Amino acid sequence: MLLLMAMDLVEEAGFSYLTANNADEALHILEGRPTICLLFTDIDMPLGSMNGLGLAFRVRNRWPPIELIVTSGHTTIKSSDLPERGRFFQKPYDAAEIIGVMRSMLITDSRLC
Amino acid sequence: MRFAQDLEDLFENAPCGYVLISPSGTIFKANRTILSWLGYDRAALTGKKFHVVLNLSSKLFYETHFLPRLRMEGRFDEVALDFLSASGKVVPVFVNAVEQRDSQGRTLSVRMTISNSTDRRRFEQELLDARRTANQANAALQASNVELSRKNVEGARLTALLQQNETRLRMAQEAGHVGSFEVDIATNQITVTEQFCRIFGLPSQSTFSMDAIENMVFPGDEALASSRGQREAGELDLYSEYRIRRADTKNIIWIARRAQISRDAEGMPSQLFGTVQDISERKAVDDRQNLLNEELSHRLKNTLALVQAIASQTLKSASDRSAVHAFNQRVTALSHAHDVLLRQSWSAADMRDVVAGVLALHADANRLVLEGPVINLGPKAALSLSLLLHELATNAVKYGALSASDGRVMVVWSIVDADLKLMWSEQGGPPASEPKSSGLGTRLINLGFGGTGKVSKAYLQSGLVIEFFAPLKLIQEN
Repeated sequence: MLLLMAMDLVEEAGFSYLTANNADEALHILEGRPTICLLFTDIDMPLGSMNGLGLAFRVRNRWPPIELIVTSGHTTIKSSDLPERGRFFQKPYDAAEIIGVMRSMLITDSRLC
Repeated sequence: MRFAQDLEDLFENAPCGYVLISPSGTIFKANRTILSWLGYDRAALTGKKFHVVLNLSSKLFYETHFLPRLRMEGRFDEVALDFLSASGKVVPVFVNAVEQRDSQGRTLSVRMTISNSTDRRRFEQELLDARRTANQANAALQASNVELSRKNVEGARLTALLQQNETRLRMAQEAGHVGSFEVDIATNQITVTEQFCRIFGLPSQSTFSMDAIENMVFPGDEALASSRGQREAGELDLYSEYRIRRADTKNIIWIARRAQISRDAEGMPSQLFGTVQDISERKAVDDRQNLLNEELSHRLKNTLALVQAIASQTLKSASDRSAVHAFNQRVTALSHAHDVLLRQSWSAADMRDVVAGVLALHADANRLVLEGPVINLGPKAALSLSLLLHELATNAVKYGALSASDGRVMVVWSIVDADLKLMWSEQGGPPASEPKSSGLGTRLINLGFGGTGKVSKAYLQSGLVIEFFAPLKLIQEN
């Protein structure tokens, strides 16, 4: 259900998306698709070798241009705990706010997404 | 002839005095020895009544006591009398006397032998004096013995009381796992109780150097324990919690230390007194509680996110997208209020945290002015206030001050009698006007803070101004 909402959110922001159920799936997709320019992930993901925070750091190291948005129900995490340029939003998040951030991240970007 | 001369000489110069007295009591013969003792001429003494040579008390005794005995028994032995010498000096003597009687029993004369007892009397007197002194000393000794034993009893009672108090204190400290200590600041030595040693896992010993104790502090917690410099300056936290590594088991435990500084006559810190307590168990409970709160909050937030997701999906076909958006934002505001409560273990939230937290979702800090005293809100009031401010802020963003680029919002609260007064005022935006329709936001605002309905609104040219009143008792209710 949360994934569905996230999909709608990205659509509403005017972008297209691919979904993954855990970090390993996400990395697999990223390896095959050089056109991905933003990762939106929850920290808690079942059945993977790493959580969303680990994934965010891995992505920043391997594909530095990719923007990062991370969400979680954890209250103790802040944007400063993320890789540079990463943004953290506590659940439940305000969809409109995330849409705004996504747009500003990608529209200022000269790349075509 | 020669014998008669010897006899005469013996009489005159005998080692005792001889006096012969006539039946009428007149001295008619006395030997040279007694004459020399008394300093009389023979002529001066003979012919005198016997009692003339006695002092007054001897005279009385002689006439009332010894003379009648002499008459009845014909003799008396070893009677102590005081003679008076010619110069008036007392000569103490012992007198033996026999009567010389004729065949009809008539007294012919009284014969007396007199021994000078000056030395003996003096000796007796000395004995008497010595005995009196001894008696007095004895009495004094007895008195002091009595006093001493009274003091002993009192001392024993005080000692027992002191021991009892010490035992009580020790037992109370042991029961409460409290150890006590005293640091001599100049020598940097610490004197401790047995329970202190037990807590720190030290051998049972009464003094240690402070360096030894400070070396046990867990790396990283040194700043929490006091340092020698702090003690010497008398500047240290009187209550502190830190970890130590026990000397015996090497286990890490939490210590709560309370202390007090005592100062010398010049006001310089001289000693540090205090207690230590093993609070590891409480710390473990606190940690578990925090973990539990964290987990609970995590789940709550995930659930609220799920509620948002369900709403967006369910209302996907709804024509009014803004309603879905408003719903999701309200859920977000609610979630934020829970955050503030969590930070204070769900018991109370600081008013400023709640206000700042909700408004931060809608506007940058430089467009907000928050003013008011520290007030702890109960959980219900914190949630109520969050939703209320969310509606006010949403409206301000849509139609009010926050819709203009340099509009500002002031939130000012204060205590007026038994009420909390909360004022929301917008400035720098379009003129305020009464809303045409009455949505959930307007209805929530009209209900007031905590549902009290005490609201006054003013739609001014400069912007919206609203005042809320709520009883302090209600909003601080836990």
